[in-house]
Amino acid sequence: MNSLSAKNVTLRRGGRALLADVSVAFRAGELGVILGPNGAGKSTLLRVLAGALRPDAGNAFLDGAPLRDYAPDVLAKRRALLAQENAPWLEFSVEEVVALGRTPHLRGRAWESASDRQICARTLRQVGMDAFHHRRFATLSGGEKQRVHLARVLAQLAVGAVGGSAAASSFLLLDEPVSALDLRHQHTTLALARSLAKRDGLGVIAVLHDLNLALRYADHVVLLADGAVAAAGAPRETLTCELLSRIYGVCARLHCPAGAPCPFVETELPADEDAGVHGFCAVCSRADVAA
Amino acid sequence: MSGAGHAHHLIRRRQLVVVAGAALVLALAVFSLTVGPFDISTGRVLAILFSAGNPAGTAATGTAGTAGDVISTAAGTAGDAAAAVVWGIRFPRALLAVFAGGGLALAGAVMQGVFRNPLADPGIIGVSAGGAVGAVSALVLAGRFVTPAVLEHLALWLAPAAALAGACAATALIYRLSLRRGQVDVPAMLLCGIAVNAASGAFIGLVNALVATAEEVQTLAFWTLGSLGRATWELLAAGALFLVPPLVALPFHARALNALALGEEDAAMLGVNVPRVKRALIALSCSLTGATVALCGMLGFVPLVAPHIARLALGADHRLLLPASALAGAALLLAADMTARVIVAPAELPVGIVTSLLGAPVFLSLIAKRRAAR
Repeated sequence: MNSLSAKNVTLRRGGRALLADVSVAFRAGELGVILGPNGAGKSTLLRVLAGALRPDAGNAFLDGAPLRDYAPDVLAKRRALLAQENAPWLEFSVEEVVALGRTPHLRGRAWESASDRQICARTLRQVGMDAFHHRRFATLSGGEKQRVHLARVLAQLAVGAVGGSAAASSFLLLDEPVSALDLRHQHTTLALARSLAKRDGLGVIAVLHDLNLALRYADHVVLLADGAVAAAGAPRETLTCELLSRIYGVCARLHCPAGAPCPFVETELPADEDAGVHGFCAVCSRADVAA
Repeated sequence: MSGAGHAHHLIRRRQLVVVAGAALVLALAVFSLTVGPFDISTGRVLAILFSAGNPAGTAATGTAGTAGDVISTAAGTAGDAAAAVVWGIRFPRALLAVFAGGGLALAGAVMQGVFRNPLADPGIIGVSAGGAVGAVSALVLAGRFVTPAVLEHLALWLAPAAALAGACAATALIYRLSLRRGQVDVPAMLLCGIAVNAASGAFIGLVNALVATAEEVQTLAFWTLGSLGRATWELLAAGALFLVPPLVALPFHARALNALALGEEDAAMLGVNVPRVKRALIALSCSLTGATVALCGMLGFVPLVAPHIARLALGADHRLLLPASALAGAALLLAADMTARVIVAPAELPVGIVTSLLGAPVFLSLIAKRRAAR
């Protein structure tokens, strides 16, 4: 089974530990979600898993081998990172941005082949941006730009390659992929991520803020707090109202109406800050007082 | 696959535009051979160019520039004189315009790609000034330590090499100081350019006042204004060493430059060896900038305007942008040099004045456009 993991990773910046002895593992064929409050180290962990950041201690592993043992172009075909901040000055057209994803596949060739172009057209269709292929990238809205970049990283992993998927052993890392998207596109994007995992066998790892999207789509969640793993596992067992209340500093209530596909979480600020936060679990009818 | 087909046709069409640009540069270069105080028709120029036994060997010793035209004219029969002017003076000058203009524009396009900013111009951010400081100090200092006879031979190679070193030092400094968390901070970059330009201007002024001989003062003026008037075959041969390798090597980095447009981290994620590519790109574009500074002084705004024109015509894909910028730069400098030779004939303007007159409004309009885009 293909896996992407971090073992005992510590990463310091300016005397502060952004990650402290973090060990996580993600498997191909699953949608993993990293959750946690601001500054918990979610993006940092994702970058370590992508090989974009070198940890001070510990290591990231792809299929059991340290990332640094892979040649950059080999690694580029096995994992792709959709970053949160994107280039401010991009004078490319939409299809040129997507075609950049084919960079590691060109080898000595200067130009994309017909099959490269077909892959790009297909990934643009997957994110619902195919009607925009000739538009100047700079003229798109924030959410549209995010979807074009998603098409670019899909093209990098050759998802939807004609004549067999080369993506089965690849990992797609998404840093807040739905942050700029409207409700419908949040669902279509995560549904796409899930089908890439289930149908194409890709490993997808996404940083999310929305707990309900995590409960709805994730196979596996990792909850980070202060640069350490607070909990990890299947979402329904892991995301208890007690834990969420404590980590996020809000009153969290889990509900599971009859016939709903999954529980949903409702959160609010505590009425009395001094009294602490409360969790209430309507699923198991248990009320907790968190620390 | 309408999307895929569309991309294919667009690239084909743009490749044709680049070929047309090359033809335009060739035509301009031939036409420039007819321009000057000594009247030579286009037909005559073509006849001289295609005549079997070219007199380049004898003409190469003729002094350069407009004065050279007149002297050569007096020297021989009208026919020989025309051939001597074309081969000895105007041809090397046209070649210098093509290589310096093309080289500067290519350096500009590459720096704009590395800095991820359309305002990164080797002149504005101080790279050319760094090159000038290198060349000036090498020549003035070498003049103090070696005999004039040795210097005569040395100067041809020494100036470009020292200019390269100066340009690289300036670029490294500016890049270090303007990088904030992996992104180039534009105000910092432009402020560094102001400081480097001011410091090098002061340095050249100081050399001028303190140590330079009367003859050296002339040379220094040439560096600060920019001129193609020194073009000879020997000078071209020396410059070619620093111009040709980058001109050949840089287009091979076009895909890496495209990836770098996404940012350094995203480029690394695409398998680009960012530190190595960045070092190569900076060294190669400094070689181009340094060599042109050594050969023809500081030619303002060519590296800014030419890539801008190319980008407007063909888009931002460096695989087309790099050759198109080089062609646009060659055409621009050829046209500017012809203007400089004609506008105050029989004297001539330093071509740097013409390029700055042309380029400054483009620079200002770019800034205005960026303001409006905010």
